[in-house]
Order: sequence, then C-alpha cells, then structure tokens
Amino acid sequence: MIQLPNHTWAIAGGKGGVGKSLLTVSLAYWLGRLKNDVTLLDGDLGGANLHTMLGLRIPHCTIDDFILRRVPSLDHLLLETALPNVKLIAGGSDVPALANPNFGQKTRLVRAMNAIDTDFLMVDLGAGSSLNTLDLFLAAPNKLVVLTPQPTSIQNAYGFIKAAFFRLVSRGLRGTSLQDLLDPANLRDEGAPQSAEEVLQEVAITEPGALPDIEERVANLKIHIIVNMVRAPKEERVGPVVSEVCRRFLGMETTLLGCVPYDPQMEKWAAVMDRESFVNRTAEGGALRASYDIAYRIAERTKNKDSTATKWIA
Amino acid sequence: MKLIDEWKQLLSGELDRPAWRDEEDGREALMPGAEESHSANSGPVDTFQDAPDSADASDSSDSSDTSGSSNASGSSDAPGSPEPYGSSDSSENGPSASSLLRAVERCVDDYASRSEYLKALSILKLASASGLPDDCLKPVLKELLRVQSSRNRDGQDPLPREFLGTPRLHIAWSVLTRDRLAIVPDEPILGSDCWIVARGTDVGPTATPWALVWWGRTEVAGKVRPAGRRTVSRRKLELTAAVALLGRANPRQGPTRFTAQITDLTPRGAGIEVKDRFDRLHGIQLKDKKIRIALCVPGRGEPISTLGLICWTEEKGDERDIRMGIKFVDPMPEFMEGVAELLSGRRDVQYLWNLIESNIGQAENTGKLGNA
Repeated sequence: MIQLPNHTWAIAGGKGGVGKSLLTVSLAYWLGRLKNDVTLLDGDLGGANLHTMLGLRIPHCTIDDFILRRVPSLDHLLLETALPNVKLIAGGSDVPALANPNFGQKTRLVRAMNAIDTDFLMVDLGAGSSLNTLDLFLAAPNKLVVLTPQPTSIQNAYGFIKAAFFRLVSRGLRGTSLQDLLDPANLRDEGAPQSAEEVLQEVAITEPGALPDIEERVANLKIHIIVNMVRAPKEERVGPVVSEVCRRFLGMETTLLGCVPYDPQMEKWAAVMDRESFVNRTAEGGALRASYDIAYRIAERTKNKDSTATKWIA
Repeated sequence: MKLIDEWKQLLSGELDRPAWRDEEDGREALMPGAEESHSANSGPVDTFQDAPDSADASDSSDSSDTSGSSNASGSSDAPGSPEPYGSSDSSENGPSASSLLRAVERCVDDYASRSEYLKALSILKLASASGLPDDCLKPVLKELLRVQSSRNRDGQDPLPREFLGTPRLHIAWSVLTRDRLAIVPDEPILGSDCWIVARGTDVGPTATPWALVWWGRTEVAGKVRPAGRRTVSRRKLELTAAVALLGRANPRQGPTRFTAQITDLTPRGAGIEVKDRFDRLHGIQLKDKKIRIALCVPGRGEPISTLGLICWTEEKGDERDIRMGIKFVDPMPEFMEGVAELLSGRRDVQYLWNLIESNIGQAENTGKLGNA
C-alpha cells in the first residue's frame, strides 16, 4: 500500500454522528486561516456529504469521476468553498458499486492523492471499520480518531483502532504460514485469537521471524485522538482512557490532540448548513475556538515532520 | 526412520496390517479397524515385532514393492475386512502424498468418532514426521479440535486441547510438531521432550516422554505437560471485586470488607490481589477462611456474588499487597453465567468498560455486598 505524504491527515471515528465531518471542516477553516492551502477530500465512499456541509448541494464533479476515469487527476475535481484557502474534492455516491472500489481503483486513488499539490490534505473518512476506510486510514501518515464521551462512541472508536491494528498486522503476515490468521472466515472458530495479545503470541510462537516487522509497523502506527462534544470536565478523561487501553492491549501509543466542547451553535448551523454562514453562526461557540488549538497543533506537527519523506511499504 | 516408512506403507494399505494384540495383552490397535481385520484374516501374525523383520530383510523400496502388492490385495479382498486406506493411489515408489493424506484423514476421523483423540493426534504426529506437508495436515488438526470441542469431554483419551494446552490451531500445531519423535529401540531417548514410538513395552532409559505412541496404543506419560495441566479455561482480568470475610476476626467488629483486584478467573475460582495498606488484614489467618465475593460483569446492572474459600495466600512485594487464591463454593447458576460471560469476553473491552465506568461514572464499578 502506498503511504500518503506527510501533510495528509485522515479523520475517522468508528461511529457515525460523532462530528467527524464538522470537526474536519472546522480544522480546515483554521488551517486555511493560518495561510495554508487546504484540500478536503471526502473519503466516505458511498456516503459522501462533506459537500453539503460546505453549502454545495449538488457538486458538479465528484471522486467517482476520477475512479471512472472521466478526469485524469484529482486536481480536476477541486471545488472552491466559502472557507478561505480551502478546496474540496467531493465524494460520490451516485454509483453504488464505487462504494467498494477494488484494489486497483484504491491504489490509483491513493497515488492520485499523493500527487495533489496542497499544504494540508484532510481526508474525512466514513463511519464503520470497512476495509476501504481502514486502508485509507492506514495510508495516511497522520491519523485522527474522533470520539464523543458516549460509551457507544468510545467502544466504536476503540474498535476502529483495533481493526486498524489487525489490518496492519495482517499485512505483516502476508506470505507467512499465518497469513490466514486474521481472515474473517477463520475468526469465528473457537480457536481463533480473540485479542491482539493472542495474535502476537501466535506470531511469536509460529512465525517469530515476522514479529520484528510487525512490532515496527505497530510502533509506527501513531494515532491522535480528539474528544468531541464534551459537556463536563470529567468527560475529557475519555481520551486518556482510550489511550490507556490502546497502550496496554495493542502496544501502541496514542496522543490526545484536544477536546472540543459541546456547542449548540454547531447544531444550529448543522440544521441549515448555509454556504456562507458557517463562520458567522459558529464563531461565538466554544467548539470553533477549541478547534483552533487543535488546528494549530496539527500545523505544528505537520511542519515538524520531514515533508519529503514519502515511503512505500509493502 | 524405518518405522515411519513402514507406517506409511501400512497406512496406505501396502503392508498387511500386523496382527494386533488385544487389550488383554497390553495393546490395542492403533489402526482403526485392525481388530476386525485381525478377526477376518485367517492367519494371525504374532505381534507387530514380526512385521519389521520382513522390512529389515530388504530395502524399504523392495519391501514396499513386494509385500505391498500381495498383502494389500489380500487384506482388502478378505470378506469383512475394512477397506485399506488409500491403496488405490499407491505408486511403485510407495504411497503417494494424496493417498497418505486421505488415509490420515480417515484415521483421524475414525478415532475422533470414537473419542480417542490422543490416538488421532499421534497419527498426525506420525504423519508430520513422515513428511506430509503441514498445510495439508493443519486442516485435519483444525477439524479434530473442532470436533473435540463440540463433544462431551468424557473421552477415553486425554483431550488434545488439554494435552496441547490450547484450542488455537497454529499454536496447537506448533506444540504438536515441535517435540522430537523418537523411535525406540532404534533411537535413544535423550530427553523428556519427545514423543516416542515404541515397538515393545520397554521404552528404554529413565526419561519420561510426553507421550508414548505405542504401535498398539497411545498414552500420555506420567509427566504432564505444563500447558496441559489446567483443565479449565483461565483468563487474566483487570476487574474489581468487593470481598467480605465471613466470620468476625474481632467479635466487636463487623465483617471485614475490602476491595480486591481480580487478576485471573476460572469457572472454579479466582486469583485476587488486595492492597492492604492499613494492615486491616494483618494478623488474620486468611487461609481456609470463607468469604463472599461480588463482582460486576460489564453490561449487567446487578453485581454477581458467591461464597468462596481462600485456598492460599501470598504476600507480594513491600507494599503489603496480598495475593489470594479463591475457590468458589456452591456458586449459583447466575454467578456461573456471569463468570462464563467474563471468560468468553475480551479483556481489552472489559478493561475499557471498567475505565469508562470508573472515570466517567456512568455505572458503578464494583459490586456491592449485602449483609454478609
């Protein structure tokens, strides 16, 4: 799988309705205000609606046009938005079959994403842990998981991180005798590993040679967490809780990037979603202000990385 | 490895099955249907020890050519005798891999149907040692583990899952194949970590192997594999429990209550850890004391509780932590259902729920004890 350039941030969350898309728009807004060229890409294949949030009711071109080879590159799909310095590549949902692109289509899409000339590429992924979502998430060097303090959201967010972990491990097991270990067809068996610990134990016993590579992959899987819609200070603890479980059971470090308070202004705007009114309607609320801090951290972290380090992993 | 060659030929039907002694002589047939074969054949052969002599007399290839063609047909044509395993695919150079594999599958199925699981494992061990590819044999083991887990655990043989220590295919296969397969008396027993195929009753020196694969029967040696010592599933947990000592250490005080961390759990008992920072348990003879223990199953509203007996205690470190082994006493079905739920669940999700409940406070963390 191709690794995307370092300015790419993939935003996922496992559960729908946690505010991924809205947060993505807020972050893009602030990154644009910080004089960066920002490209938003709706990675919710089959359920795209980011254009609606940006006031574009029916986009005249979508990512489907690229997958169907109607346009040669993603640059042809860039749509202007009302947000300063922010452009959008709208997701398509017209062709149901394209909700699940095949391997070749996915590879072509990721290569084309690699070629987009922008300071920040923000990929808004869909809910759930489908393989397409996981692959796009893993292809991005910067990974963001958005969750709310609701137990269902916490559980789904952890489930998503775990699914990404397993997807990563299964790639490391290709070509070994354990390549079917995480095959969904085998996971129903009683003897199938039930946890990351058991998977790594199995690898350590049966294919010890593959273990260092897998451990390196896991060590490089750095995920950032944002807790959205926080209503009380104690709800901010959700981030450390998920981080602790990831560290303990998946052996991976996660970083809490920030918390965004619950903001009724956002809900009011979400009910209308006017093209022009996003900033006007939400400027007074705490959410947009909180997302500035997060956007600033994102900008700092991206700048600190070597932007030319684009690597290919098997 | 002459014995393995013989075994391959035997399995593929090229050798006539040796006449197996019955159980009264200390042996039973390793090959399914051998007793029937014995009774059907008019000319009984003395013991298996007679069979290798014919093989010893010539090269293995020669023996497969000569004895193979004549004896296999003889035994298969005999009325009432079982069909030889995979005899149709035999080539001049010996049985083909596919015929051997089919024979192995049939053998294993046959043993599994009789709940003689360890014999089935022995067949797999021999098949692996004889060079059949792992990829072909692993599915057979997988099926064996599946069949065994779906049946009653009262089989005649020690159960392969217990013997191998895991129901997980890849690890089970690794355990099955990692130990050496020694053939005695041709090979000396150098250590105890080996399976042994023995022709006679005299295994040899003092070493105790994991398993004896007698040519007539299979048995586990007296030394039990550590992985197989536990007969019930056990899971490491991070779960908080409320514990009350029954009976009063001091008549003027109520029952001593404390919060404990459950570190592992089985259907029969639990290992718990108590941080006794204030010496509340100091000086109390905890062993053999009865307790009431309550714990919360994530997702269930009410805590589940049962009586327990402290079987052992151990002080841990300088922090006055005490570890205890608790045996559940007459647990109610509801309690056992809860424990089963905890055992079947995933530790990470349980831990996540515990952290959510303790940090965000949407549910009570620990079970609450009634009047103990």
